Parts: sequence; C-alpha cells; structure tokens
Amino acid sequence: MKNIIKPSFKQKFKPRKSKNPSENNDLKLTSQMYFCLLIFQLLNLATLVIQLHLLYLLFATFALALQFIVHLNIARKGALVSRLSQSIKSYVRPKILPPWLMLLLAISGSVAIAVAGQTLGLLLSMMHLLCFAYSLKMFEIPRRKDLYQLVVLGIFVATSSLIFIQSIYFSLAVIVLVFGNLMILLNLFAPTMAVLAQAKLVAKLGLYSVPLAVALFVGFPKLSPFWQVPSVESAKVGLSDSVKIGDIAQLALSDELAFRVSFQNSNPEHAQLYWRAMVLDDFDGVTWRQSRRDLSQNSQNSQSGQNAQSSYGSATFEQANSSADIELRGTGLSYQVIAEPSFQSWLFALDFATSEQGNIGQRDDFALFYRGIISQTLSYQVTSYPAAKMSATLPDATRALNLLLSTDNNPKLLAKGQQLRQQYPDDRQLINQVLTELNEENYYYTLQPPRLNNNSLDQFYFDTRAGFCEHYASSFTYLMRAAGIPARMVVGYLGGEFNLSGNYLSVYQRNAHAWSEVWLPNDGWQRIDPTAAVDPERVERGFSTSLMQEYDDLSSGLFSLQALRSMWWYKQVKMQIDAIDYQWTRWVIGYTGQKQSRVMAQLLASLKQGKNVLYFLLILAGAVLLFYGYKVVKGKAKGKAEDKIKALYLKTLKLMAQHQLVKARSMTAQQFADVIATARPELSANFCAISNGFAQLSYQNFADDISQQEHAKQLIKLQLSYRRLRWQLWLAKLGID
Amino acid sequence: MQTVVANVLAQIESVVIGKPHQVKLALACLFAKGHILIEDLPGMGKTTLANTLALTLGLSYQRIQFTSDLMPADVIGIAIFDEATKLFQLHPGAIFNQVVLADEVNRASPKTQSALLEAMEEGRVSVDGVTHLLPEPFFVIATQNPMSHAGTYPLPESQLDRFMMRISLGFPSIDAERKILQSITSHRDVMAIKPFLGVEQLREIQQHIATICVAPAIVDYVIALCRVSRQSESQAKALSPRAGKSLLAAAKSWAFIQNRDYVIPEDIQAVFSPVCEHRLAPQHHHMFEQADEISQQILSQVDPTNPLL
Repeated sequence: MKNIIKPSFKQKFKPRKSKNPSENNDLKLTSQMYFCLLIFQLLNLATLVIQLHLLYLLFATFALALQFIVHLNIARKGALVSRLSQSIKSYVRPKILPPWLMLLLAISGSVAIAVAGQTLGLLLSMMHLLCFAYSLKMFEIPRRKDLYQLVVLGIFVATSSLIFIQSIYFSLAVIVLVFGNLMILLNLFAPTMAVLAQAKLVAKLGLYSVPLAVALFVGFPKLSPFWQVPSVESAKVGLSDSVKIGDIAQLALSDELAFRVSFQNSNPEHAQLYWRAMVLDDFDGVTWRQSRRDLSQNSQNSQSGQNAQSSYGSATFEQANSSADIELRGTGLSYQVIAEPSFQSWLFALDFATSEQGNIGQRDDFALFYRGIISQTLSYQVTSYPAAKMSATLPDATRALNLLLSTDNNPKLLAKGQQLRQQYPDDRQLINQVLTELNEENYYYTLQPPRLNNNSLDQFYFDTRAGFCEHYASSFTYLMRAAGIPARMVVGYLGGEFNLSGNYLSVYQRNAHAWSEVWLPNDGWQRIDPTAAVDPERVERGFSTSLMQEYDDLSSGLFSLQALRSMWWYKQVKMQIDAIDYQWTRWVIGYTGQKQSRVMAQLLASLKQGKNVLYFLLILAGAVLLFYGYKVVKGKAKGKAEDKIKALYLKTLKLMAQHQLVKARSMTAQQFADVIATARPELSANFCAISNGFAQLSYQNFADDISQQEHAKQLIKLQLSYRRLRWQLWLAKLGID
Repeated sequence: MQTVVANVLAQIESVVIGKPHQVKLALACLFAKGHILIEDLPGMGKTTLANTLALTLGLSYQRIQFTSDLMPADVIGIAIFDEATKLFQLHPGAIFNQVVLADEVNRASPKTQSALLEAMEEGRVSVDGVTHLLPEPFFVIATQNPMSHAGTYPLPESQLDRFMMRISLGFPSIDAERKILQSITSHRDVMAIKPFLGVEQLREIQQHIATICVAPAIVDYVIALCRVSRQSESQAKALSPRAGKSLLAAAKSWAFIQNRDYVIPEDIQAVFSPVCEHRLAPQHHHMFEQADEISQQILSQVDPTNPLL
C-alpha cells in the first residue's frame, strides 16, 4: 500500500514547474485508439498490397509490428496499474524512434523511391511516397492535428487503390474502410459513445455528403490522368496476339470476365455472336500471328502505351483505306461493349463493325483496336452490319499473304489440299467437301486433345482427330491455303451468357474461340467455322453436353464447387450480383470525361430551351411544396400547441447550448431562467418569455380551457422572442453590443 | 386556508428552531395522508417535532415509547373479560388515537414493529378475531435512531415502504443552536401549544390538495425518474409505482404549502429525496454524509423540461 500511495502524494505536492505549455498540448490517446490506428493502417495499406514494392512492404510490416509490440507492452502494464487508478488508460505516444533516426529514415526512403522511380513509373513511385509517409507519420502524432493528418492520409491511401481495381465489391470494401477511418476521428471526440451510435452518426454524416459527392462526380471536370497506369498484369488470362495449338483450350476453364455487351434493340442469336478480336494471317507452321506489316503497328499499340500516339496516323489512314473496300448491306446492330482491362489494345465486335469514337481505330482486316492500352475498364459504342461485304477485291499483297504456306511442316495436309483442288475447281464445293468430311468422319471436339508432336497439323488431321476449336480452325485455314483459297485465322469469342435481370450479355474467357475466314471472289471475306461442322452444339448453344461433362470433370478437380454451382438460388444470386456489377461498371466507372462532356452539353442545350427551364422550376417548386406539405402534416399530426411550444423551448435550449449556456440536465425551466437572469441579464427578457411560456403551458394551463387561437398567438410571440434571442446571441458572439 | 397553514408553520417553527424545510416536509406529508419517519441521532429534536406537529393539528395524540420488551398488545390493546356484560371487551391500546408518535420505533422487537406497521397500512386492527377501525384521520409519526446504534432492530424494506417520507433533522446551524441553548423552552411549554387545525379543517385541506393540478408533463417527469431508478447500475433499489404515487401526492401537498394550485417540477425535486431515498437505499450507514446521494444521482439524470426523451 505504501508504494501506491507514495507517487500520488508526490504528484499532488510536486511543484508545477515541470508542466510547460508544450506538454499540455500533447495528445493523449487510449491504447484502444492506438490499436485502432494500427489496424486501420494495416487495412488501408492492404488495399494497395499488390501494387507495392516488396521492400516497402517489408518496411511497413516492420514499422507496424514494432509499434504494435510497444503499445501492447504499454497496454499490458496499463492493465496492471489501471486496477488501482484510472488515469493510466490514456497516454502520450511513446517515442519509439529517436528524431534523428526518423529523419534518416525519411530521407533515405525518399531517395530510394526516387531511384526506384525509373522502373516503377510516376504513378507507382508517387504511391510509394504516399504510403511511406503514411507509415512514418504513424510514429509521431504528438498533437491533434497530426492525428487528423494521419487519418486523412489513410483515407487517401485507401481510395487511391481504386485506380487499380474498380470492381464493385472492392469499391464497396474501400467505402466501408473509409467510413472506418472516419470512425477513428469520431472516437476521438466522443470516446464514450457506443460503437453502434458512432457508426450511425458516421453513416448519417456520410449520407449528408452524398448529394455533394454526386454533384461533383457528375459535374466536376474529369482531367485525364497525367500518369500512365503501368501494365503490371501482363500475365493476365486472355487472348494473346499469337496463337499456338492448345492456347485457347487453356482459356476454356477460365471463369474470368472478358467483356460485357448490351444491345440496343434486339438480342441476336447465339450462333451469330462471333466476337472478332484479332485476325491472324501469318503462319509459320507452329504459331499464328498477325502479319508482319501489321505486327509492327500492333506492337506499338500493345507493348508500349507511351508510343501509342505514334500509330495514330497510320491507323486513321488504314481506316480510310479499308472503308473503300466495304459494302454496307442490311440494317445495323448497335450495342455498347464494356471491356475488362486486358492490357492489350484490341477490341471486340461483331462483323462488320464501325465505331465513331475517336479513340478507336480500325485495321485493314476490319478488326477494331483501341489507341492505347486497355488498362482500365473501357466502354465503347459499336454498330455492326452482319450482312456487309468485306473486301470485294483483294489487293495482291494481301492475297499473297493469305496464301502463304510454310511448306515443310505438314506435307500430308498440303498434298490433300492440292488434291482437293484438282477434284473441285469451285471454291464453294471444295469448302463444303472439307466441312462434310469434318462432320461425317470421326472428328471429336474435346478440351483435352492428345498431345501432338511438334504441333503437327498432319498428326491432328489424319491421326488423332480430336481437338479444340483452334485445331480445326488452324488446319482448315492451312488446307484452304494449300488449295489456293486465301484464308486466315480469326480469334475472338463465341457467344456469351445473357443476364436476364440486367439484359446484357457477359462474355467470359472460356468463350474464347477461333475460326477461319476465306476470301471468295464475289463475296469477299466469308466466315467459316469448322468447329460448327464437328460439334454444332458448341456454336448454337455455347457448349455441347459432352463438352460440358468434360468441363465439369476438369474444373471439379480444382475445387468442388460444382454442386453449389448447379443450385438454382446460387445461379440467381450470382446473376443479380453480376447485373449490379454491370450497371456499376456502365454508369459509374464508364462515366468518362467524354461522357461527361456529352451529358453536360445535353444539359446545357436543354437548359437553353426555355421549356425545360420552366419544367425544372416547376419540379423544384413542387418538391419544395411537397416538403412543406409534409412538414405541415407532420406538425398537425403532433398538433397540440403545447408540443409546439415545448419544441420551441427545446430548440431554444439547443441554441443556448451552442453559445456556451448549457442547462444542467436536472435543472427545471425556472431554475435555468434564474441562472440566465444572473449570468446574462441582457438575454433574460427574451429567454424568460420563452421559458415562462413553456412552463406555464406545460404545468399550469395544460388543460383545454384556453382556445387553440390563443395558443397560436402565444406561439407566434414566443417565436419572435426566439428570433430576437438568436440575434442577440450572434451579436454577442461577434463581440458587438 | 393559507393563513391557517402559515400560522401552523409559524408555531411549529417557533418550537423546532432552525429547521423550516423539515417542518414543511413533515406538514406536507401529513397533509398528503402519509406516515412519516424521522430518523436522527438522539437529542436532535425528533420528539419535539413530532409532539409539536400533533398538538398543533389539534388531534387526539398518544406517544408510545418503543422498547425491546414492548409487546404488540401494548400497542394495539387487549380484550379483557367484562364481568358486567359477560363479554370480552377491547381495552384499546395507544394506537387508537389520531396521531400516534412511535418513538424510537427500531428499538422494539420486529413482532411489535410489524403490529404497528400493519395497523398503519390497513387503517384497522384485529384483536381476537374482532376488527376495530382506527380513528380518522390516522397519522403515525415514527422516530428512529440510525441503524448503527446498538440495540436496534432495523425496519425491513417492506415496512419502510409504508412511510411516505423519511426525513432527518441534522445538526442545527450556529445561530439556531444559540437560540436553542438560550431559550427556556421546556417540555411544559410544548404542552402549552394551542391547536390551530381541527379535524374538519384538516379534511378541507386534504380535499383541496386533491384538486391540485398535475400536468401530464409532471407525470412524465415522475415516470422518467422511476425508470431511471430501475436502470441504474448502483446497488439502489428500484422505485415501485407506489413510490411514484407517493411522490405525486407529496408533491401536490408541497405545492399547496407553497400556495400554488398546480405542481411544478421544483415540487417533485423538493420532495423526491425524502420520499424516495428510503426506498432506494433502505440501509445506509453513513447517513449524514451521503444521505441524499442516490436520489440526487437519479434527479441529475432526468431533464424535467423533456423527461421522456
């Protein structure tokens, strides 16, 4: 006991000289608060964890762990002491690192980031600087303003992760995290408030800010970012610009989303949905590539985003060139495509596609491409003419390219092509003959084709006879070229899944497909899908039953969610969530600068027309009237004058409290009026009027012996007093008498 | 009517010096038809207050000194065989009076205590199976020593509840004490007190008090106070609806003494501690330091202008 009493005695009688003013300013936080800060720092940084450099991650982890241990020790000691006294609960932040070490760390870290900036790029190095500052700031929060800075930094870090990931789930998680960060601030000011009440308050304040946020989102000019988002995810699943046998079969198990489409009018049939992505016309016996001339352009597009601008000129030239070759027939089909980031630059569209967007170009093989790299979700508008005739005449160079064969690889196929040519002089007959062969002879469509030696088409066509779409497309194209018909391979996606609740089509990576195009003298380029001859269900419905079975077997080997997937409700829920995600992508993420200027222009144009202004004003007036009507009805429902006067009195109390005249809870109206009369005699006249009016009405004349009219008169008088009081208080606050 | 009350107060205050608040409380309690328990150390003027109250009211009055060997029959009375009528006849005890002063009630055995307290509650007594009504009006003024004193039987909570108020007088101020010491007031002078109120006038006053207005806001305030007492985390007991009823009755009576015909929150606050403290904390040991603590805590938690938030 002696030991415990001693320090408190000492404290009591110690001279106060040790307390200098700076010490008084020190921010004291509870250990709970420190742990909150640490946990939220961890969460905020976790949103960026994929983007951050390993060295920084090590540093951040070390810093967090160090602080965690220090605070844990203090908290443990505190728990022992706090049984005896309550004062230990909150404490000034301990100095973990000496100031010179902090300075050294800050300088060396910044230098390291600057050096690494060469490889990281502008955006990421800025990001690292931000996170680094955030980590270091955690070490010193001596004053309240430092805590503010820390929290704001945290919010900034958390939200900046939205540059990289924009899915709706992640966005929601970040929003929740931001609110969590705000809770820290609230906890500082109202530490005794229950957590639930805090959450409610934060949510309420958040709701207040929504109109402003929406207005800013819609109206604030969208500056194009001065950074280039780095293509970190080069290893992403998806089509690549060269296709070997077996490439697409690997995609067939991927559930990842490729792009989504919403048609403006009617939805076309599944068998019509050949989404062209790339035309591959250069075959070296193993790999299909885009032809060398195009390749040089495409590499500029896809491999280095910075150079993308240099290809603009040639692309527009090509567009002008190719449009001469096209003969538009039939009605157009308009639709909007929202492509997921592929970190490539080709786009997806049906034959034959046109787009009026400035950032979309068209190659002379009619494929659309994006001028730049699709590193974020991209939305574009396309009109397709399925019946259009492509390239009625074929330039010699192109013709030669599309007949080119590497003769040494597949001699049997070459021989077969030449033999067919002799049998069938007509191109169409020849094609039909090949397709019939594919259909009638023992060819299988399978996800697990047997291995081919050296990717030999011969071996596939004549021996194994089991393959995926690219096997068929590849050998078919080869056969056509051998027979002297210009042919090329096209890769893209086939079909997609309609989401009924959102009325859009989702195309996944597993819908990846390859087919052929042959050039016929009168009809131009024609799409021929040899897969359709082998397995018609694949084309008409997406997957045939046998393939589905195979698909199930393969994927259930990875994880056995198969039972769950087949459940009805799971499908329904997934469809709903997907639909929400689609709308989110379409309207929130897809709200780009172009769209914004369009919306603004429309708004301005409609505002210029007087009619709309009138409508707008009418709606506004209606809304105001409704609001007042609601208030009046609500007031009537409560009705009684005494309630109104009580409300006025309570409002007055709130007003007084704002000006540091707080009524102690247990004070009665009369007692408080007396207090005011002595403390602020100048306010007394107006305040006492309200106070007495309230007291009289609620204790004395509560019975209905006074008419409602008189009540109303009194209410008006009291409201006048209230206004005068408010005015007096304001003047007093401003120091004007 | 108010002049009569003023006279009564003046007379009592001339005898019980320096305690106007307690005197008013005691009077309010009696006007509200409640029994009162005066708790204090010996020699603080408990008996003087009780005596003066009874005499001033002009009612029939008997004092019972409670001791450890006091029997219930001493309080209630006993049936004795009458030779003349050949019947058992009640020989009434001290309780058959309009004002009964139960002095040092906690010194008697629990059996005797409960005999008295039952009579207080029922307004009648039964002797050998025959019920006898007590006179109307019937007040009990009990005094008791603090619990820590030796040789006392503390009143159980259920019996404490039968008293509308518990008040304590406390030490007098310097001036009051000087007056007390200099005065020649003795027991004989107390007996010379003249009665100001008769039974009829008392009944009138009680009828008038019944007409005093209690606004819904006041009822709300009482409800809020009771609810807070039920939520409180301290060891305090909760206030029952009966406590709330007593509180309102006492407040009305207090408003009457303040010459008002409606109740305001100040009335509730004034009588809250004497009415509720002994229900909230029946047994406390440091009564002179913290006597009002729990009731004050509860009062401080309710906003009278907006009680049921």
